[in-house]
Amino acid sequence: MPSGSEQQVKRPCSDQELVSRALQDKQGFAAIVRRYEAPLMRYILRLGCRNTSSAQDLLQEIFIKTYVHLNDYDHSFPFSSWIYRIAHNEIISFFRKEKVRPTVLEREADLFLLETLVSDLGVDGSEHQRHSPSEVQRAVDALESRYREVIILKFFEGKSYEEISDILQMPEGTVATLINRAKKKMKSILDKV
Amino acid sequence: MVQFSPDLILDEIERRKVVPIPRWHFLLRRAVFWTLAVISVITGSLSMATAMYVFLDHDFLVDQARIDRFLAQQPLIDDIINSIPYLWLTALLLFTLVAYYGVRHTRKGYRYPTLRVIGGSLLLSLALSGFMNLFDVGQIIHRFLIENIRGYDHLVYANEQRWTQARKGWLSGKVLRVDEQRHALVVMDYKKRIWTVDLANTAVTPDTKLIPGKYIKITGLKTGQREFMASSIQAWEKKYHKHAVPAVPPTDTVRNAVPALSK
Repeated sequence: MPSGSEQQVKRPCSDQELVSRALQDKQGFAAIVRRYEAPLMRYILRLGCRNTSSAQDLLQEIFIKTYVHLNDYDHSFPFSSWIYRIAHNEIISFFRKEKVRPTVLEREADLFLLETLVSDLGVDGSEHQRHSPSEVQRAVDALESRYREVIILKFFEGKSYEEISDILQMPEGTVATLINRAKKKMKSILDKV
Repeated sequence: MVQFSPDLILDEIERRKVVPIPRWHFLLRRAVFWTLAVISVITGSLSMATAMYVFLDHDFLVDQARIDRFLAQQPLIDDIINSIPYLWLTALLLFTLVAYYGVRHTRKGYRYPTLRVIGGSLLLSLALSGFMNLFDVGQIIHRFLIENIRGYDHLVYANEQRWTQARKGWLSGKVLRVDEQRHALVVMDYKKRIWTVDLANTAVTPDTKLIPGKYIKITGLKTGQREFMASSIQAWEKKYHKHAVPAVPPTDTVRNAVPALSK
């Protein structure tokens, strides 16, 4: 049976602890990078960065910006919302700079999430069968960027309304309205398919 | 292409020689936005206080006899619409928008809906302006501007303009001194023109003191370039402090109203 001190060692550090360590010692920042590398890369790809090389460059810039702004992090907020906010702003400014329209990638891992999204749209079982994941993917793709962003955060990243509000810096009510409108628009796009 | 790894990030941080921006920088930035919001609400309140003073100062709101007189000359609705201080309301709107911008850029400002922030800022400005007008802030601002800033009177239709029509028999201004020998008042109107007002046959509204520094409204007849024969004089009352002035005929004697003449 593990002793109390062993349990303490095994307990993963909270994000807040990692931030405090990173501020004391640069090496401590590596733990933050390790923890958020995969989710942020997925987020970059889901938001529509098609080029893997650009995605990695973007990820690097996100982490460097996070490091530079570490003192701005308020411990009363979830760290994940804060780092996603930085990521979101970097990705959007990347699309603006590159003047490209983001296109959602068809990712194997997202197929299940696409199914979840379709069932959440309130389409009944028989109709549900009609829509292939790639059709739903195209419907997400066809949405305006502000709708696509909330759909990705809600259904693909699994963020709560409060987290989305913190990431996109808008009131929760606006987030709810955008999600509802996005779902309606998706339904109407899928109905036409 | 960058091969991604945590070490690579640390190397890149090292290579670019970047360090975390100090905490005070962010605290200062937030303080600037809070200050902007607070200053905007206060300046918005000053605008609202002045707007309230300018609008409520108009005589059509109090004196039925005057309403009847103005009705005969122009429709009252036009008079009211002209009397709305659009300049100050525009200033209030602008300051409210700046306050919204300030609040929006504070740490948690984005969590509040736009309408709630703008409505809250307007309500706060309204409440503060009411408090400010307990100390005549609106009056002080308006009087300073109308007497000292050229062109201000073209932007706001104020009661001073209504009462500076000597040809029509209306004059107003600040009492500069009492001319005992000529039994007259020396009055400066808001355009800084000096008038000699003859008190030979004048009725004064009760409680009106004709002493230097007091603002008065005079009805009568223009008798010369800067000379006026007064038939009635009333004090320039603050309407939002006091009950409406009853429409009683002026009965006080000039000797009671002018301490210098009663000696």
